[in-house]
Amino acid sequence: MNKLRLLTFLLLAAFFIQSCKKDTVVGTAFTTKPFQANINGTTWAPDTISNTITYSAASQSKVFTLMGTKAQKQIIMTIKLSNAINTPGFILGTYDVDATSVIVNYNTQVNSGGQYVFLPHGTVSAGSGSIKVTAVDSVKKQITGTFNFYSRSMAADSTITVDNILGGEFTNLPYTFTSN
Amino acid sequence: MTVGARAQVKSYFGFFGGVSNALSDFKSTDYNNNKAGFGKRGLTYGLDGAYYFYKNLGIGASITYQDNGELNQTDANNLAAGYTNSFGADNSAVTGVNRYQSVNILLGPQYSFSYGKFILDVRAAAGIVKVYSSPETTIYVGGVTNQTTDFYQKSASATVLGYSGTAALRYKLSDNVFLTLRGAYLYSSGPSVTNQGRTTDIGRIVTKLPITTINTTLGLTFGL
Repeated sequence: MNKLRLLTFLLLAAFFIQSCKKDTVVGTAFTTKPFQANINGTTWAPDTISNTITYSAASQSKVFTLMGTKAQKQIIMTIKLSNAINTPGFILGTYDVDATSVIVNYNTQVNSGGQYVFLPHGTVSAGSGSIKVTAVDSVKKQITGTFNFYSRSMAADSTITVDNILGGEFTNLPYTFTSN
Repeated sequence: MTVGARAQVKSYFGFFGGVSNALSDFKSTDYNNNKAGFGKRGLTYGLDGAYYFYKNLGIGASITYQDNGELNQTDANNLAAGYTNSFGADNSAVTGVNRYQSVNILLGPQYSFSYGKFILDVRAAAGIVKVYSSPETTIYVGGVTNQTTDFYQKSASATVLGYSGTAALRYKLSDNVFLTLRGAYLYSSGPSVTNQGRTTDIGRIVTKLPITTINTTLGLTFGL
């Protein structure tokens, strides 16, 4: 009979332990899109992308231009190489923003004269970021790299706002090559 | 020793406890399966009895509480990843609360086979399943212009029909006391689920939660 009491006790103990267990669980996930960045702490992955490499025989230059747009935000990055050769690839390396041959714009959509247009939200000055091209597949025409920068703007009341674009990446992002 | 119905089997009552295992869609953790319940293995316990009105033929009834768990971290992460992909979101967060808790009351014909100190009971039963709660999720999707606020898959609470098949092996400990190993299969079309706050039909939408379980229990029964 003692065994029966023990069995009963164990069952009852298990029931009470189980009935007390109530947890809250939070799961998170981030986009796996090939072009994304973290804008002011929030993940942003554009749904409209333009990615080109253009060679100009006249100026012997090659320009890589990557533009992404989503949710009233737009990033445009441009790297211009001088003395380039007419191939569909691009030289790997870290390109610091210099506002001349390496230009980055962070734009937001605003109502201008009744029309919604993208205008620069501040200035990405020389030395305020970089683009790193880590891999180029000139056969598949895919480019991979990372970027980060900040855009500094000043309001009419002299209040300064800094938009931080960090952890940017483009991974095996298809591009079109044009030679003219 | 013989097998069969030579004498009237004693009516009995008893209690049991053990494990409830989720099966089929109820067990599934597939984001793309809208019937996937993310049910888990949990505790079950209850009361059981049978009244024999003709030799080995009787009518049995049970009342069973069962717990089939809650969303775990992996489930929540998988759901968040699913919503992120479905919505083309920049990021998603899924918060899960509550757990599957239900009580079923089932009644049906039972036939028993006696063999020495053993009695094998088989029963088909039907009745009601009272679902007290199911996991509730709050979903946030970031960077989605047509779904800017949280939306919810509410905890379900309903009384629905259920069907069961049970096999129990009783071992005679004394004249009127049996140690009983019991397996009970339960199916119910399950409760309807309310979704709130959606401004679009994109992604996983759960409207019904079918419940399928098999409960394996051990208990004591007492002859009357």
